[in-house]
Amino acid sequence: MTSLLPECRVDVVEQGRAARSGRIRCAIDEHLKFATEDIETYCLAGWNATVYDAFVVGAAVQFCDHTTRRPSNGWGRDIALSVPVHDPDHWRSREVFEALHDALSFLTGDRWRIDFALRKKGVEPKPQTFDLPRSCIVMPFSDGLDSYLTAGLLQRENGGALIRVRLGSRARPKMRSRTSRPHAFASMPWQVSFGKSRPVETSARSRGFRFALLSGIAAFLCKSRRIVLPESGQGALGPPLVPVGQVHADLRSHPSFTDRMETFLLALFDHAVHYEYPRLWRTKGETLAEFLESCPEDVEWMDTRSCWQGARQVSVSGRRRQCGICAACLLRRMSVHAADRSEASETYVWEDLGAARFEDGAALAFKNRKPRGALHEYAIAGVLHLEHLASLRRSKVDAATLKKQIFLLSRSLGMREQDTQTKLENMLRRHEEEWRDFVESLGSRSFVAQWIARGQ
Amino acid sequence: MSDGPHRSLNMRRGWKRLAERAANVAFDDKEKTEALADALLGDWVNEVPHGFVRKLRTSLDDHQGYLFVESVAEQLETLRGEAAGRPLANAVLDSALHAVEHGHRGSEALSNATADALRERAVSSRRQVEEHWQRASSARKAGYVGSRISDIIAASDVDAIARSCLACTDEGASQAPRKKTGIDHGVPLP
Repeated sequence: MTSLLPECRVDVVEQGRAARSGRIRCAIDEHLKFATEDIETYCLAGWNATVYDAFVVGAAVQFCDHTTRRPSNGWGRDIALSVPVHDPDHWRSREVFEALHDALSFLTGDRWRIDFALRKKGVEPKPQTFDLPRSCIVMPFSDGLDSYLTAGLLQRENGGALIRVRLGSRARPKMRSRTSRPHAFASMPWQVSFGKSRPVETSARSRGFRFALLSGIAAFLCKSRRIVLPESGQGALGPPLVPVGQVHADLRSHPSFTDRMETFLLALFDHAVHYEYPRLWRTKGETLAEFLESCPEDVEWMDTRSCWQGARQVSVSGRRRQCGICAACLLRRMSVHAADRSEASETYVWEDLGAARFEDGAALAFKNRKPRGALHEYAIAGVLHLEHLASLRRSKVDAATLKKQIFLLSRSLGMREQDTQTKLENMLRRHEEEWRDFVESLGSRSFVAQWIARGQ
Repeated sequence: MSDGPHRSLNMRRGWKRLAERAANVAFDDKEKTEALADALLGDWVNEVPHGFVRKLRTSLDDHQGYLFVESVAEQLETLRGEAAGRPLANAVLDSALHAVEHGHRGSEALSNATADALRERAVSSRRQVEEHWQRASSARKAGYVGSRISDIIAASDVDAIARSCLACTDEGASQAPRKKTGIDHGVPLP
């Protein structure tokens, strides 16, 4: 008999109202916060109440995703969510309802059951005037390296037509100049506070929904059909190509997920968008090299952040760094090496990857350098991930999986399987070259080299 | 935007048992391939609901022989809801779409899809074993165990394991992994 899925029952309610018995209360303006100044960066001429409702749904999905822990040796959860909206009939219509559930289940690997109630109090934010170009391309924009590089490359090709949609907290002062010129979509429209429920789950697959939803709303509001996702090949395709254990494939930046978001956004707003992946067949190292070739004087890419870890985990002498050893940091470091550049060693907690012992690579002032525990486990997972991706092309036992992934990608991208195979294999070959070259540069005594020389 | 993997989930019992056998020369090839089959069957029973398999079989059956690829694929996509929360069931569904696109129908398509999804699970679990062994022991041991599991996967008849899984679903009963406690179950004499 199949195992039961852990349950999560959440009622999103308007302020002052109670949840039904046995359900977690999640109150608008208490747990899901919508600051007027943030919302108003989305208040373009096309604004309607459905946009606001979509924010509430996006925030509620984030709340549920972080509130219920995944089973310790399984994956899926059964999530029942009730959300008040201005027009429940529209959200319950077959097209919207099915497309929303399909996109969410496909992305997070959970069973979602969302119902919609009538919202009691309407919302009418003050319309703003933004200086937007007539024809624009929308791009979700974080503090990450791919966002910065791809935006820079697109800016050169398309000039002022690029509209950046801010993800995460407001831009740091140094980065603020790079948010969209007219400051539309310059803030995340919501913040989630977990209250007593506390965020207990960190897999955060719903981030993909948040990013795709916000860029889709932005495209609807500025009447654009084009949304560009900045991920390079390893970031978008790496996790589903080499999954580990019983996880649901990580499809946050995968065309088969954004296909589903296109269907959902069309049903919700009656507006067709298309997600494009201009860097899908390029490694991050190639993207950086191409960027540096066109902007040789630019050094601000070094201020971007690839590490997902919080300040508490990765601060040295009171200053937040990047850990330098998780999969995201290692990918960044090998890409910088591939582009023939370097970063200051103080960028990372693990300053020296050439150290023979894991614990000796960290900054001297860093306390949590023990060779066991979470950071050590992230490091092992990161090194093995990049190594498995590098070995994939030549692994006989992976051949069937690779074929299926080629099929799924071809189906979403409308390409012939043979063409997808050629492009994917080229990207994987370049990844392998960059990874091997990077590891060699660390020296044969490095703990990274020792970890991957294990089977040889 | 993609954070990449953080660290893998806990290993299930069947995969721990396979890893222990892979690491131990006292177990022969048959015992190792049996452990792989048991681990896969355990995952199947845990993650693939009977109702999902029944509907999948119906969608793949092409009695008239004229169903277009698009209409079968469309029907298969409607089963996503049945597979929600179950990664292995989702993998079977993706593999079924692949099989249909390549001209397979009916029980052949179902067997192929099941075998492909199980192969994929076997390889992703091998990665998990490597990661956990490297955490707990050493890179050398982790590499050794990972390589041996790859050998076991290559030597196993995954198509036959797929047939057992489907038969198990049809019977509606799970097979508990066989425990070897008898005197004849020791290390074979040379």
